[in-house]
Amino acid sequence: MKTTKTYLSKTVNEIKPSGIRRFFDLASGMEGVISLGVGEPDFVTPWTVREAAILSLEQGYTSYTANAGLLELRQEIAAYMAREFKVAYQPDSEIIVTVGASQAIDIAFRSIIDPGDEVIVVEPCFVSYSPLVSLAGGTPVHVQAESDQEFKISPNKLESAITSKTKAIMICSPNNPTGTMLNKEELEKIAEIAERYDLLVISDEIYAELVYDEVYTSMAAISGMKERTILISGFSKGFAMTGWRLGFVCAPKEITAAMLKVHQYGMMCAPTMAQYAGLEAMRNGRDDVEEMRKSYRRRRNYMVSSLNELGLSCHSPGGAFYVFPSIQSTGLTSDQFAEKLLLEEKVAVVPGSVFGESGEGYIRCSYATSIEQLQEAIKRIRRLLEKQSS
Amino acid sequence: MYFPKRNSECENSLKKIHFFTQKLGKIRYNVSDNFDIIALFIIEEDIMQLTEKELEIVEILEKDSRTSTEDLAAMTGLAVNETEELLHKLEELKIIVRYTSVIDWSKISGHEGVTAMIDVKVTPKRGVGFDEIAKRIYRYKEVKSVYLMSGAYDLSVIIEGRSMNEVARFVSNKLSTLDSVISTTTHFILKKYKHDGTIFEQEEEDKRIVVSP
Repeated sequence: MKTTKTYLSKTVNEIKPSGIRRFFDLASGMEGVISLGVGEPDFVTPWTVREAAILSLEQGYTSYTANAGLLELRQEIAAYMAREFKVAYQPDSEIIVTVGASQAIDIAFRSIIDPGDEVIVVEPCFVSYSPLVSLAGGTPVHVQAESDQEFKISPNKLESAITSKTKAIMICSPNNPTGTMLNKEELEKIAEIAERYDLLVISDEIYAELVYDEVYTSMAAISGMKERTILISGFSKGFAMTGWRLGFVCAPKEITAAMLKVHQYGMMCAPTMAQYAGLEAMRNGRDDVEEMRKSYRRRRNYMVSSLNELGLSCHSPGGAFYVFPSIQSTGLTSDQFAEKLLLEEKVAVVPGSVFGESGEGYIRCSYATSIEQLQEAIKRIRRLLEKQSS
Repeated sequence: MYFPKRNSECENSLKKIHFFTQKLGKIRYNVSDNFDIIALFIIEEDIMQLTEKELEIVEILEKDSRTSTEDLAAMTGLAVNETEELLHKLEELKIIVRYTSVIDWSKISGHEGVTAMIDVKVTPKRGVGFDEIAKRIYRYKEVKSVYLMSGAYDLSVIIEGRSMNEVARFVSNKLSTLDSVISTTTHFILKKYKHDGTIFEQEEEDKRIVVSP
């Protein structure tokens, strides 16, 4: 075969590979790197959860489950959503257990998008939203969050991006990469727009467990919004279960039925072993989550205070495990700064530009790393800045 | 708290309850027919309500007592002088009792030593209950910990010595000969897997990929 290019789909060909890839390749070959570039918890999954998965294997639970996932697990998820976030979902018709939140996002887009439909994606944001909209045949329309207002969303900007083709708004709170959490009032403003223009909201709430200051509000808990929200969540971040690939999606009946079609033909079901682990996490993992949350909050406070002291100004993010400091004072682009920091001081961060144009001038620092490592990283960043200014 | 069927152990359990009652004056207990003794413990003295920030500080220091005041301040979102004040207060209240390190002595040649946990049954004394005998035991420098226990025996005593012989000598010469001591059962620790929340011999390598979205 001389060339494969002609065989590839035009859509796939047009999708740019993730900008994170380059830094991964660069950092992977190096020794002694402190990584603040990791988008997952540094905790290992709580032992009680791992034990439950081992037990399920010993007992021979190795076959498929129902397409939507173990009913028991969906019941636990329904109880959890009602208890923690005050939204009532029917376990048998409004919840699907997925292969991570990523697959949930994928089947959500594929279930609602017709060719030409537009989805408003608020950026900076997780790298897969826009490519997944494109793969589903839609067009992502980017709206930039307000960098001078802690990366919150301007309702006016949001509204002006709406066209007759707009079908949904994609939001993520607490946000990756900015850590920004939208409170009830801010969500209500978005909800109002969604209602006025009859749009769906796809709400990625994967970090909902990890909030530090205010009470978390789910988009689906906003009055009138459960009917037009596709709520994405999962076990990866809160329960430290990234490798298990276990997420879930909650949505109104009709949309859930549509997503279930995509899911059953594309995936069958989420891994059975992971589902048993998830069941244990829901039942007995809450104390572990609380422990981890407290630990993240300390580290967040430490990072925010240290980075601001170094002159890399950043707001104190309400959730997730990222801080998003500005590096504009250095005169470098975020890509140049991240590369310099990695090559000269062996600290890996992710340039903000990877998460959208509005991330330019910022870097994402994950504090899902031990406090000792964070202290060392701050020392190294200080050294780089001192070299820069002298 | 539930104590087993009435027997000789029960006698001691009753004595323990009396002891607590005298000491704290805030405990209520009753005896029912179904269970021989049910004791309801309401202990209010010597227990303090800490603020959220104070709790944060003691939790951080319990994990790493070398955390600097500056870092403590940053982690809790307090000013450095506020943090210092809180530290003083916690130290004065003896909530922070001491700043220590966990040492794996088994790695140090000539200092490997042995540790034994000894279950001690004693006769409490009128008026002073278990306090006096506990004091007579914990004053020995070989004794690392003394706890008053519920259940089959009364005091749990942890002893460290250079050799098994040394510990055995201590038990037979010093501990067993005390007037109030009825019996001792000695258990030697063979290996420490986890001590005070710290897992020994653990290679905590980060299994994550270096950069991920």
